[in-house]
Amino acid sequence: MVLTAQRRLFKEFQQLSRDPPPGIVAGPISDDDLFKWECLVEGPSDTPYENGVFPAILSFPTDYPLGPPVLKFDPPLLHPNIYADGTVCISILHPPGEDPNQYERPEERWSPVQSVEKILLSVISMLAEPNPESGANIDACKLWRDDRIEYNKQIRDHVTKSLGL
Amino acid sequence: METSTTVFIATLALGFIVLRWLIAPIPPHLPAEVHGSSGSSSTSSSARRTNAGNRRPVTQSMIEVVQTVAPQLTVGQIRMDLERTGSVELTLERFMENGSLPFPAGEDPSTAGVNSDTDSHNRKPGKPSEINLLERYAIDPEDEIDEDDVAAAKDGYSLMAQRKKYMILNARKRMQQQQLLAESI
Repeated sequence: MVLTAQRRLFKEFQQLSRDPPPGIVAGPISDDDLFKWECLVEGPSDTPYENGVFPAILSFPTDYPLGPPVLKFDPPLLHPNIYADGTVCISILHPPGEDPNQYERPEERWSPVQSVEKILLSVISMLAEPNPESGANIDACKLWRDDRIEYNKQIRDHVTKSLGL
Repeated sequence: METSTTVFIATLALGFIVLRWLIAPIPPHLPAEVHGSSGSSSTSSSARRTNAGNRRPVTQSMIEVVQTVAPQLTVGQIRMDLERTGSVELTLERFMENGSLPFPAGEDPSTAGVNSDTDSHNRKPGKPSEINLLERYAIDPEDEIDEDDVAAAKDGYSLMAQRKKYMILNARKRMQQQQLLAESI
């Protein structure tokens, strides 16, 4: 089980470093532990996250790719679909099968045919288009809905500070 | 003649007791759906009957049935109430009436909250949410962006480090240009 996961993670890492998708850098933090990856995700342009570079930790379960990894922004990022502790809540990271709330279609959820690359691309599109209907961070949802100017300003401040400007 | 009648009556009595013992535990096996769909009056009457009958030990499947209906309850809460009522129906009925179940000793509502996904993730981390990427990745902002560095990196790890540096410096440059543009207007 662990061997399958390691082999698959190594293959994905090789693929990602050979042919990296734009705006994404991802790989294991150290050689000893292939189950913890560090990723850098670039904020999509024409959004308040533009020019931002956001570090995140991907933690894989030992039964990967049967179970989905957990993606956590470190430090947490203000976004309706990111919990206050930085954990990302999107359908592709949810365990496979039917949604008990009948909200997500099974093909949107995690399955072994998905990959780290697809997760990170989904995260970038999530940054561009928040989904307030399945919000994770209620405060961010409220801010996004009621006071978009303040929401954008908080993100801009976060981005500027993180770049040391 | 006399003995055979006695044996016959004794067998009947024994059979009756065995059958009664076998049939009685069936009601607690009723799945949760039946509980929900049947009328409330019939449910409560069947629950009362179960309670009056023999009390079964709490099994894992009983806890699971309660958990599917009430996922926010902890195993400790469910086990304690099942031990008290001895029936899935009675425990669920208590839960529906009160909205929750009492906590066993040693557990309290604050520890129970951890089971809920939203609660555990919505705790703000202790450390401040601001970082400086240049400090974290030990990048000198005066460094020139050099594509050759990325190409020269041999193994995956140094390649990744170079790509990170490249990404952060590029973002910083774009940001600076944007700020200059904003100032000039």
